[in-house]
Amino acid sequence: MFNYVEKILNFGFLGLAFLMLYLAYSLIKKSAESSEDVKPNESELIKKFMNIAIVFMILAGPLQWVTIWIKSDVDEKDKKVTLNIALNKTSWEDSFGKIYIRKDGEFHPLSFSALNKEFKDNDEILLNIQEIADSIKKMRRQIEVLNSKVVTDDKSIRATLEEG
Amino acid sequence: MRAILLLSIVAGSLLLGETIQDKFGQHVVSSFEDDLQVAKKLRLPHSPEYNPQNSIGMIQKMVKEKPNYYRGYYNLGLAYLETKEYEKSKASFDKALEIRNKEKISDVTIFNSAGWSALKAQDYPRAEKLFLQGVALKELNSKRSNAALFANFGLLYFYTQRFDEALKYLTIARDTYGSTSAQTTIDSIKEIQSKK
Repeated sequence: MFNYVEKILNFGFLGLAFLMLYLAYSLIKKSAESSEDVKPNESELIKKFMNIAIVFMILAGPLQWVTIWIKSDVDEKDKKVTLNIALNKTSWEDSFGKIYIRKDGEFHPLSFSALNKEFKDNDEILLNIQEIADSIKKMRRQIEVLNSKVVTDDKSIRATLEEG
Repeated sequence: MRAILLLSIVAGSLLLGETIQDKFGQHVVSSFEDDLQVAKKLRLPHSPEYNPQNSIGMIQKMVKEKPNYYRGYYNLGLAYLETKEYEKSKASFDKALEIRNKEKISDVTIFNSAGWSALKAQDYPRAEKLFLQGVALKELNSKRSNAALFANFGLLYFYTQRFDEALKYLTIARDTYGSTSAQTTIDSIKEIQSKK
């Protein structure tokens, strides 16, 4: 739809101006070729064609600017990018089916085979990193438990517990 | 008249029991001090009488009797830590901290203990906040308490992989307050960093 509007705005007004000029020129040419005097209604018509041509020419410039502005705005909103999203480390195999992205309310689990989706401006990309956060938490718990088993008689811990 | 007044005071003190000032400056019935010592022994893992459940039962009775008993809630927090009831430990420490603020108790060791409880519960942001409060008031702490505070703070950063900050606090614990246990964590960090 916009393409038609754009074409009309871009070429229509200038085209109409040239059409008016051509009609005025044809009438002038016809009168010049004829031996008869120019009729008053003919000269009025020529004037009208010329005036309309000028109006169309004057309007064509600003309308072109408006068209360029609207076009850039619409183009920006319609811009689309295609993203390929996948996990890139084999060590993350455990997370298959647990880490996902959400697009248009649908959940797409991530794996090594890339998920190919088209995104527009303001489209939502939701990456579930909860699983990663949970893994880190588990690892920290593991470190803490292992550490407390290795260091059995820690003086700092003893001093801490003896407070109160 | 005076004799009646004197008699009523004597009778009152006999009925209520003698009050003394505990280590945190609160007035408590003298039997509380003895009972708390027993409860404390029961919650210490290296004590031969170790029985944290009994310790919790004893302290609960005391705080029921004296709802603003700072030392009671403090020890209750540490006792719950032994039974791994981290939420209850947190609630007890929160109550103790509330009493501390209300009654203007000057003790600052609680920040290390409450921070340690949060560390064990893996509530690292809370632990950091409490340790920082303790560090800000380090001048009021004993050397032994500061050694534990800074070593525990270093341990928190070690668990959260913030090695530079961990080294900073562990070094202070070792060099300024003579902590011997900080060295083990320092060695672990140096080993990890050498493998980068």
